[in-house]
Amino acid sequence: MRVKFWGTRGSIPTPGRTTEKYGGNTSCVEVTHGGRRVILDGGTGIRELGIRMAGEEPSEVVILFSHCHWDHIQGLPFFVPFFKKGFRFRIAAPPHLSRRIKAILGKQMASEVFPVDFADLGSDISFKEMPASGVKVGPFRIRHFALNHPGGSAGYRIEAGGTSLVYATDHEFAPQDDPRTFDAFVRHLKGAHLYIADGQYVEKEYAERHGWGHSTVEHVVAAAKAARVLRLAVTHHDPMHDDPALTGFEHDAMKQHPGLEIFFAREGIAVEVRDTLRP
Amino acid sequence: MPPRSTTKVIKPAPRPEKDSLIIEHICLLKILRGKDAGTILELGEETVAAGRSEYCDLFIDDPSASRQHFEVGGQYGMHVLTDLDSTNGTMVNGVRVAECRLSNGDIVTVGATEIGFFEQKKVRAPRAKTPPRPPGGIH
Repeated sequence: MRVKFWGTRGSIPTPGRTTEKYGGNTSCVEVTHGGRRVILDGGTGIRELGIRMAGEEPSEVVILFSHCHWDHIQGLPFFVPFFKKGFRFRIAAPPHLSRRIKAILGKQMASEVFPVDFADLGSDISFKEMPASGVKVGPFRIRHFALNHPGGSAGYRIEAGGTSLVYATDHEFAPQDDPRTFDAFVRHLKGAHLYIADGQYVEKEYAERHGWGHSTVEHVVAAAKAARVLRLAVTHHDPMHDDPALTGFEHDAMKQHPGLEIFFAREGIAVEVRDTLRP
Repeated sequence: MPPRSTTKVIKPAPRPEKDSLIIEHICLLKILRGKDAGTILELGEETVAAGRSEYCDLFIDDPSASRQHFEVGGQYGMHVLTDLDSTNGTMVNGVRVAECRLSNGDIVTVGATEIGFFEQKKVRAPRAKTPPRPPGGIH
C-alpha cells in the first residue's frame, strides 16, 4: 500500500509561509494498492488530490469519513472528480454516520452556501453502510471502530498486500485518565504496520484542552508502543503550531523514542506501508 | 501665543534604482557527507535525477545507491522528491519516503551519503542592457 498525505492540518486550514513545510490543508489521506484507491476524509487537502485525479482515467474510488466536522468534509465541493461523469464514488461509513452523511454533505452544498447542488454532481456517488465485520473492496479489507470525539468519530483499519494501516484521527484517549478507552483502542491498533494518528497537542497543552476530542503526541506514542505498531505518522496538526514548533515536536519525539519509527506527516509526503522497518 | 511648531521633517533616504539589484530565490542539492561532499546541484524547473549512474544530474558515489535512485522536479512552485523504486530507499529527515515536497534544510539520505536541500537568496546585478539595434536590421 502507498499512503499519501494531501491534508495534515486539524480544525481549520492554515495557509501561509509559516506552515508551508507541514502544510495548511485539512485532513485528507490517499491509500492506493494494485491500481485501486481509498480516500480517507475530505478536508481541503482533497482539492489538490482531485486536480491530480481529474487528469487520470475515471475510476471507482472508496471514500471513508472519520466524521463530518468541517475539517474532514470542507474540500468536497471543490473536488473536481465529483463533477466529472465516469467517476464512481462509494462512500462507506459505519451505521451511525451512514444514516446522516448524505444529508450533511448535501447541506454543505445547499444553494444558500454553494452554487452547485450535491444532487447535480456529474459523477456516480453512492452511500453504503459498513457492517461491523467490515467490507472487502478490491484488494482492501476495511474494518471500522468507534473513536472518542464530540459527536463521534470512526477509525479504520485497512489491510492489503500483506500490510495493514490504521487511520484514527479525532480521538481522545489519555491512557492515565481513561484506561478502558485506551485498551480498547490498542486492540484495534495491534500489530499495524502504519498508524496514522491524531497528535494535535503536546502534553503541556493537554490540561487546557481536555475533552476537546484530540490526543497528544505522548498519548499516540504510548498507544503505538502498546500495540507494537511498526511506524507512527502523526497528523491533524494544531492550527496554532507553525513549522518551527512542529519541527521541534518531531525532533523531540524521534529522540525520546528511538525504538519507534515516528514522523510528522507533511502535506505531499508519500510512504510505502512495509512490513519491515528501515532498510 | 502657541509655541512655534518644532516638527522635524524627515526626508526618506533616496531609494536605489529600481533594477539596481536582483534577488533570486534558488534551490539546490548539496552533498554534505559521502564521496564528492561539497558537490552542489542548482535546481531549476527541469526534473533532475540522482543516483549511481554517471548519466544522473547528481552522481551519488555510494554502493547503496541505485543507478537511478531519486528525482527532484518542480510542482506548483515546490520541489518534489520522488524515489525511483530504489533498492535501499530514500530517506528524508530519517523517514523512508516514496515522495516528499522538499523544504529548506531537509536532509536526504541515500546509503551513507547525506544530501541537503537548501533554499537561498542570490543577489545579482542586472544583466547589461543590449544597446538598441539600428532600424532596418543588418545590411
